Amino acid sequence: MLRRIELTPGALELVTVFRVSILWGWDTEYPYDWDTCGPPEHWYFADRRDKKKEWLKKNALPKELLPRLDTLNEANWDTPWDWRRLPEWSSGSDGEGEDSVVKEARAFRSLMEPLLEKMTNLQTFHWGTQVIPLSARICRTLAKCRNLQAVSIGPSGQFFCSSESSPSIDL
Amino acid sequence: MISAFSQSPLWLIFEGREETPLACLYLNLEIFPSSRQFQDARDYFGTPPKAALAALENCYLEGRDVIDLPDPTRYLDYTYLDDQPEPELNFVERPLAMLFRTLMASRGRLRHMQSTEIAIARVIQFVPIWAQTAFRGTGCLLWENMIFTEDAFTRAMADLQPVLTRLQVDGTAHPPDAQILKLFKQEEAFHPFLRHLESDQRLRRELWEAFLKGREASLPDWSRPRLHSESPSYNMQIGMNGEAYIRDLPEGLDGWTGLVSN
Repeated sequence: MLRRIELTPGALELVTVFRVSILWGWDTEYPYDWDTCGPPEHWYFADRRDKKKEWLKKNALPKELLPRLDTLNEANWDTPWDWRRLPEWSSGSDGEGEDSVVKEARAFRSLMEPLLEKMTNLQTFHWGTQVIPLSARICRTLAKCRNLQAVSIGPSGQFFCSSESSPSIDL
Repeated sequence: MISAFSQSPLWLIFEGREETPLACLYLNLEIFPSSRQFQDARDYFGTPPKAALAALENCYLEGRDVIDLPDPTRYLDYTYLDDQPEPELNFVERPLAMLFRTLMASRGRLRHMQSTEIAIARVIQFVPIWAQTAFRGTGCLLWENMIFTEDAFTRAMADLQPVLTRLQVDGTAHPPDAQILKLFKQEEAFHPFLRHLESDQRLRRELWEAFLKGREASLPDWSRPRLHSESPSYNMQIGMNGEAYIRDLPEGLDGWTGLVSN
């Protein structure tokens, strides 16, 4: 994860292509559980480990097992009971989100915004964070880029984590 | 609970861009809601969609008809600014609302647009936009070619400008309305939209005027390669994170492997 940037003055003016790609971690066929997980932009950055058992009880564990939860060991909790992938339970971006930059969407954008404002010769811009919306400041900056040719967004959207995500492959 | 992560004030990108149109806007977003999202709206958000929004449920699926947005001009009233979901908008319509405002702001300022959500081509309110901005559906990574050639609505929007060009060449700058209507009747590609084109003279006029403005500004650009073929990085962008979605797939295709299922 990006932690520190040092650049020669004026270097950002030479940037013509800028792409942001942060992978979304809801890599499972289970529909997104809004109730337990909250807004995805929070879930993405949050420490998810404390939600693990709550989520599993509600969504994945067989009902007949619920009266016997005290018999489960830690490994049992991560058993793919119905052969579907389970969500990732680490915190932040890949579990390494200790830096303030990856603590929330707003903090991440606040890093990108001043950088972009100096990229006055930008021609291509891609925003592929999936869960972090573009800010008004970023969009206004793009409006001022006179040489801007292509803007691409996604994959993202509120439906991406709660609808027809791809089924897993049975090999 | 409110979530705003699907909305960005994309319309702002087109502010002040009258003289410098954007060459291409690539959208890899889900726009239209499925039954699942209607269920989420009811169960998790506690805001059952109003009856008028029922027309949007699963409207993107293959075999569905033209999409007539319920009262879309209200989407222009909202700004979609940072982390501030518009409480008046239902969960199921937020991405669409954002897209509507973005596309309206893009008029005369965008040469080419590509979208993985090819059902955008079915929205009757967007047809005038495709009269001046080139539109291509990209579909998903593995079956993109198939979708683009098989979807009647996407084909119709690709044919829109060439057909209107014939009118301009054959006649005056402002052909009689009857001549425009006759052309749409003759062209089989437009038959999915014919019912709306026949009944709505204002739509026909708006469509023609949009086309003329686009021509005058040399706006449409059909030369852009499709997203997936432009570069490996774009290719990866569509298939990012291994996510491939079964939306928009022709019937009979397996969502993940692209294989025909029995």
